[in-house]
Amino acid sequence: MGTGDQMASLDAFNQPLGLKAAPTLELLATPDYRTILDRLPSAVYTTDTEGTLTYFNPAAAELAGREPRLGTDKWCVSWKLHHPDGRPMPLSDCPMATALREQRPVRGVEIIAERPNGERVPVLPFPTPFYDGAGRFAGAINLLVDLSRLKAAERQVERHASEQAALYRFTDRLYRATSDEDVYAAALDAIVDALGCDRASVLMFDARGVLRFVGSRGLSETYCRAVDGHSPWRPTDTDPAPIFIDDILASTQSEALKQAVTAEGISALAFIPLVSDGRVVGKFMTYHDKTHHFSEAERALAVTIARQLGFAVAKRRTETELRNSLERLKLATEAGKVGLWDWDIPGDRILWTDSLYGLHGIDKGEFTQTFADWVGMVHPESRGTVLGAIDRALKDDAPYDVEVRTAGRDGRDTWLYTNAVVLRDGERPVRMVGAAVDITSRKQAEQQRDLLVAELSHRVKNTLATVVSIARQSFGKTATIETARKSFEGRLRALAQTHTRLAEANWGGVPLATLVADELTPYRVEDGSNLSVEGPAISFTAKQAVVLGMALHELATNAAKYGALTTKAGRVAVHWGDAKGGPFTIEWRESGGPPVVAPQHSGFGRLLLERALAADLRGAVALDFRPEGLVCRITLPLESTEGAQPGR
Amino acid sequence: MAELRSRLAGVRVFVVEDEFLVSIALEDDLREAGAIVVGPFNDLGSGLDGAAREAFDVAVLDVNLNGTMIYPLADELMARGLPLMFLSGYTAADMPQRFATLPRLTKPYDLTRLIDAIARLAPPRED
Repeated sequence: MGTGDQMASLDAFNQPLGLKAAPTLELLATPDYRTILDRLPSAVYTTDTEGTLTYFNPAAAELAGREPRLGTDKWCVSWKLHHPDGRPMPLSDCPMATALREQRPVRGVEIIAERPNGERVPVLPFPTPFYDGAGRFAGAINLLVDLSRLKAAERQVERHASEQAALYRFTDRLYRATSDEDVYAAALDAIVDALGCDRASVLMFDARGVLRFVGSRGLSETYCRAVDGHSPWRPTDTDPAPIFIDDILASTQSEALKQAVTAEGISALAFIPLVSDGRVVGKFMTYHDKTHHFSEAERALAVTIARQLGFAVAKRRTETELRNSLERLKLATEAGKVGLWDWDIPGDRILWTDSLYGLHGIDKGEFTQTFADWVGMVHPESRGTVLGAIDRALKDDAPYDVEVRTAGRDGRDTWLYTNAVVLRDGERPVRMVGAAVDITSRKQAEQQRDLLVAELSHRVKNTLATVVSIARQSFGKTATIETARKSFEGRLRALAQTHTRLAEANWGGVPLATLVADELTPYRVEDGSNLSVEGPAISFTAKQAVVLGMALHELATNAAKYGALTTKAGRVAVHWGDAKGGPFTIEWRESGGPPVVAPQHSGFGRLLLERALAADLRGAVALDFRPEGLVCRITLPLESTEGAQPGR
Repeated sequence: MAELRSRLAGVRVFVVEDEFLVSIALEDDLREAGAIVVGPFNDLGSGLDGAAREAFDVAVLDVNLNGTMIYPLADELMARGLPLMFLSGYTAADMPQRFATLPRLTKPYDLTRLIDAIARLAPPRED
């Protein structure tokens, strides 16, 4: 073993001390050098070749936690030593002892020095043998590096890393959570892992505002029951502060709570509020079996976890609401009653649910999904309204809420009620999302009602116009007012009678037999022998019935004034049918009355028979003024009886 | 009445009205006002034929012809630029938007107003 080797082996030791030469006994003994070593903040001591302590600096005494005894202590300045794993290390086995025994430097062997007060200090020693001026082995010098700060920093880093890992796992699990239970389980794991507490719990306000356990780790049922409902905050509180209790017995909490907490074997606990949408929704708790000082770092971490959990709870609630409403919408859209649409405005692309294709009566390929194509599907009648409403919604954010008539490509009209929201990127509208409901049946009912009202108005006004015309005919050319009034009233009664019949049949049609009977019954003798009414069952539509009724009225009043119904022997026979496939004929035949003289002028009766029947029923009327009695033959073409229905 | 008698002198009025009794009264009134009545036609088919065949200055149209609406004929007259008016039980709201601005009188009509309306659409000829 040459000096050069030793020199080389000492380099590692030399460097930290800044020494240019190998330490020798003489050098170490020089006053200058002693001064340097004494003032060195690192612990340094020397022994002789037997390991007996020959020198130590103040830093060594401080590290050892005792005043080492020169000439007595062996191997080390410390009281007791341990292996890093905690096993005791006899002083004679320490790295310094090895260095002395084997006359070599020992490196990289960590030891734990125990102070007399029980404190343990991790130490990395650098024991190095040294030689006198003649090169003889003279003893060893040891530098002790206190690792406790480094160890603490390492632990800090480790703990920080573990907290970060716990938070990361927590975030990840929250993201994947599919149920509230998942969220609470993730939170409990994160609380225990990151905060290093012994037990933990999560409590949430229920619907009645009572705080209930939703998950816990290591708590007894008795405890949960005892403190269930206890809350430092109300559900309406907006800015709750966390509460940390280092020692429950020293706290100002209620005796009941103290008792329950102590009975559970808990000494320290923390209440961390969970805030969601600005309101306290619950809390989580950490419990320590022993009294515990909640450090700033712990508090900050607890608040971080609470914030994460609060977000997760809010997210879950939103998701649940969204899912519920989406499920309802899905059900509705599947039932085909509601369609959803989504218009990407800059991209000019409209997405429809399947149900909307159904509502528009088209197949998927038939809609190119552009705005222009959709506008083409809107009925021209609705186009102005719809485009105006879209314009106002995009420009002024006006509510989009319209009834749209669509002209389906299958030729079917559909009415949709649709409303929508406009989504914006800043001011710019980027999307319009809406729902559409089929209101065709409601619209049809409305249209039906409007039609009926219009039809009724038309009928009433036409009837009044007819009355005006009848009045003019009745009063125009007749000699006396009295006669005119009687004729007019009779005609109005006939008109009213036919309307009554039509109303009874719900405007469906009146049987010819009824029309005839209504006019002739007033003249019927007791045994009915003066009348003969015969023919197959046939009904006439409203307009035909009105004209026929009035014509029959004119015939009957004429017979009662001048014809067969003026004498006891007179008879009126009304027969109808389409004998031998010929045209439908109604024959009015009078007999037994006074001899007939053809009238000089053509009155309202003839006007009605000869022109009104011709015009309104396309019928032909032949009036034959035979001396033995009037015969009126009304012939109706088949087309006029087509609207008429066989009936009673 | 003397005044009304000449209000429509020489004006050819095309009439479609399906109620016979109403149409004869209308015909009488128009004649008394000096108009020449073209028609009356009592259904859409004969009305369309008549409008294609006959020369006239103004049309007075009933709206509901025994269940058939007059609209095709009204559209055709509008396309030809011929003045027309409705004489009907229908209100403006019951009819298509495109006819909303056309003159309309309700039945039973007031004769003076009818003649005024026709005279506005087709002033009598000076000759």
